[in-house]
Amino acid sequence: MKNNLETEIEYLVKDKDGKVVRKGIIKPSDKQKGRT
Amino acid sequence: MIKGNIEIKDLQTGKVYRQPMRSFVYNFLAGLYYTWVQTAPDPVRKDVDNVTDNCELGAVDALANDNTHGVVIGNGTSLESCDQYALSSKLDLTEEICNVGNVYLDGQIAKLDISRTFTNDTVSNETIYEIGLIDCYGADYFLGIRDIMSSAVEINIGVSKNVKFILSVTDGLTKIFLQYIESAFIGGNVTFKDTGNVSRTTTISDALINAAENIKTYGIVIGTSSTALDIEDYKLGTQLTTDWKHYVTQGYLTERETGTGISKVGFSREFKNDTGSSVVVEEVGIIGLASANNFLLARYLTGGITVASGETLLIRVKLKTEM
Repeated sequence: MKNNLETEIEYLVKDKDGKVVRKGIIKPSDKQKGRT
Repeated sequence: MIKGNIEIKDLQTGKVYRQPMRSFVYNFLAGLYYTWVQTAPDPVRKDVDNVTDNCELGAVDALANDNTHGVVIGNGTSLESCDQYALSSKLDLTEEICNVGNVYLDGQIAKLDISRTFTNDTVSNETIYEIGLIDCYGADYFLGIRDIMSSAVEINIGVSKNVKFILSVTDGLTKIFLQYIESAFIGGNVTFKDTGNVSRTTTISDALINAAENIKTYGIVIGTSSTALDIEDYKLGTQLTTDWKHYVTQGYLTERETGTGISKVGFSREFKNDTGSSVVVEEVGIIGLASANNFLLARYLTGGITVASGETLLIRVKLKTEM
């Protein structure tokens, strides 16, 4: 079903020189398992 | 996420028509974006007269016989588009006050009902093909939601129908996020827990997240707890503050993909690990500030992001609707 208002989180980890060393995308609906 | 359902109830027969909501238009995200970071989105909101105006989300609790805002109905059939700024053909029937309920819980889902009764006091049978929600800010009116009916809904002479939007939030957005929407929609107070677990009753419709550098009480925040989400979360499990430099929380994205149903806004913040140790970031949150109160709008689990000492972490939170 379309048009839920969805959230997507992008992260970038940079080293001391500003170079991107890790990155990824988290779609919260993938991570919210086992809620109380 | 926010999702929703539409219910249209015939008040004579009790029969209820239902369908899922599909249609937050760009205007809704643009109003939220401007409220949160006080920066004009590009493009700005467009009012029902097709005039651009930069402003926050406004009230929908219109009085009786006022269909300038609140829940509105129409018989237009224009296809849904993120660009829409008005119903394509609004019906002018007799409308009662537009009711905005209080946020309530249904298990781990927070819900908000917005409803209005319409009566056909005209001399012609009418058909509802579209419904919408218009908010009022100052003297201007902005369409935030528009849905096309999957099946035509008749409203014949003398018939009254109650049209209801049921907004639901889950998967990271909190009950308090929906209370922020409630506060905006009524221009008034809601009762919520602040990040210190103290109950507050105040207006939070002007929530800010644009925290300045090294302000850690609001804005985008990070933490180390992977405790399962609870819709009533009021703070991160374990927020990272000591020896973590926080840069400014700001908006970085406002986008409307013309010709599609996609709208996006985005907010970002950078953090630097000065702790001397590697840390695994397990949670990301958004804390709002209004009336000197801090309140949790969202909490998400990351699955674990390792940040070594001396490294920086850039977090971008994107809100997206697709019709």
